[in-house]
Amino acid sequence: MTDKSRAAAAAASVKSAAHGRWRLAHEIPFSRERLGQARDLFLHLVSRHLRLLYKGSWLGLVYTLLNPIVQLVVFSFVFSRVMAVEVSSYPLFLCCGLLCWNGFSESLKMAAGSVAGAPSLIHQPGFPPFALPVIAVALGVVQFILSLLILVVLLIYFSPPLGWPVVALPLLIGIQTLLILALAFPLAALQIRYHDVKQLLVVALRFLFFLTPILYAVDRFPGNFHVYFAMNPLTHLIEAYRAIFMFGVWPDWTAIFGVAAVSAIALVLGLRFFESRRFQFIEDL
Amino acid sequence: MTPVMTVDNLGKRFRRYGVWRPKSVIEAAFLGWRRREPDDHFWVLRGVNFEVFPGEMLGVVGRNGVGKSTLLTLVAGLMRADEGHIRVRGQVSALLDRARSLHPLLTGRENIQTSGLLSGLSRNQVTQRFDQIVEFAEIEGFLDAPVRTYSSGMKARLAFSVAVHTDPDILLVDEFLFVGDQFFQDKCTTRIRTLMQNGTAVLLTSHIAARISAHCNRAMWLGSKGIQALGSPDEVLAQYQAGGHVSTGERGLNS
Repeated sequence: MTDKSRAAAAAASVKSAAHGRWRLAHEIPFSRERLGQARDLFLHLVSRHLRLLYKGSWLGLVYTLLNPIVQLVVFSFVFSRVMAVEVSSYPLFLCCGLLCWNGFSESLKMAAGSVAGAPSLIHQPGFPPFALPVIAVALGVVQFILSLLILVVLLIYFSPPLGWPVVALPLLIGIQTLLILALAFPLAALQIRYHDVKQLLVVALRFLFFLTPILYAVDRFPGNFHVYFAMNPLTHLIEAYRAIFMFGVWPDWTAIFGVAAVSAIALVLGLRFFESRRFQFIEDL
Repeated sequence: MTPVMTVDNLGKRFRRYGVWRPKSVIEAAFLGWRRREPDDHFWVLRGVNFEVFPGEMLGVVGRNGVGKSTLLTLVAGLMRADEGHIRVRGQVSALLDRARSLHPLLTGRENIQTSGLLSGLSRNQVTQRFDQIVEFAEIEGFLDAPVRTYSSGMKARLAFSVAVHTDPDILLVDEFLFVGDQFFQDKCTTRIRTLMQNGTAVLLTSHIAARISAHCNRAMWLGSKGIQALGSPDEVLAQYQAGGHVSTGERGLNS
């Protein structure tokens, strides 16, 4: 060390004393004091993504509602008039499934591109990449909750027998979020390595849409088909929404907690997969 | 004097793949799913040991490809070392790639907020320092225009301004310190000196020797076999130049 640097360093020792903790360079700095700062950053990034999504215009939120409304009108017309499906208050039945599905699929599509679409963020020292899928899913869930306005309108129109079971809604939204997050992490990580993951996801979702009881009820099928539907976690979520909003009964708790448990395990595995590939992102982008 | 950063037997290995590495799931499906091993490995840094102390500026010189930028990327924690460790204390800020740190579609104002929060400031601190950052970057009239409409000089000044207003403990600068006109460069130098007096350690890379000798307390010559020389800038640069490892432009000036 030269005399020049020694003098400069001596003047500086006050500051470094405050930051005494050593860490490895690739570890994300984290401490209780930084919690508030992390929250500020998270909220800022969510609003930043909203602005990017709607190109700075809050009117863009209208499109969040427009898409499900159009789907709802078209499917209601085709299935209750043209195909004559025998379900009472079909628009309400359809709405429960469609909003849940849109929340699921839109969140996943956003999450798949979340890391690949944010090179400016993952090149910042100390920024945890796992925040990106979380932000995308948070955004998708906010849009889902906003889209529930449509459901409220239909509930007023059809006035089904609502009761206490409606309070299960936040729990259902929470479990749905858990499920989405569990799939979001591996998709976001794979998109960096394989550029067509998002396109394949869109195709897969198109299939899954018709294999999920959104347009129809499971009991239209003979009993030996039910096991296939039971393997699809969305079936249980959609049936739970229908239970509380159409019939005013509590959802099937066994099925719902089964979905929660499977999602939680998948989330742990998905996050570990994501973190194991974290340092590859910079090289592959 | 305790260091703010220690580098201990550092090594980073890159993989090299041939053209047949699948880039999409479809390609992988046609080429078969078996795990494809990289065609070969090459080490960029190996057996690198040094320390950086608070308040000093360490300049790294070396030819293209010896791993100067890789070293900074590793210190920034964006990649993980394959051998050895880098230990750091406190907040690390980096000016590694000026094109990448700003979002082109968002306005200057929004980018300042994002970069400030990312550098570890709280929302209040960003608000407090906002005017300072804007004034330093000289972009007053363009705050609410998207960054894609900025000139490259404006982008560089903005990224630089945010980085030097966040009180980092370690500031990493990759060929970046010298942006803008002479007036702006002088301002940058003054600002960096203030940061260093407050304890910020600066790690700077350059292949232009004159810049290292003008600004740094210490210099390090990084060669393909690791650290060739480490010490006072004049000595290290003399050895570097004696080895014939000066970029052609500078050699013209010095000879």
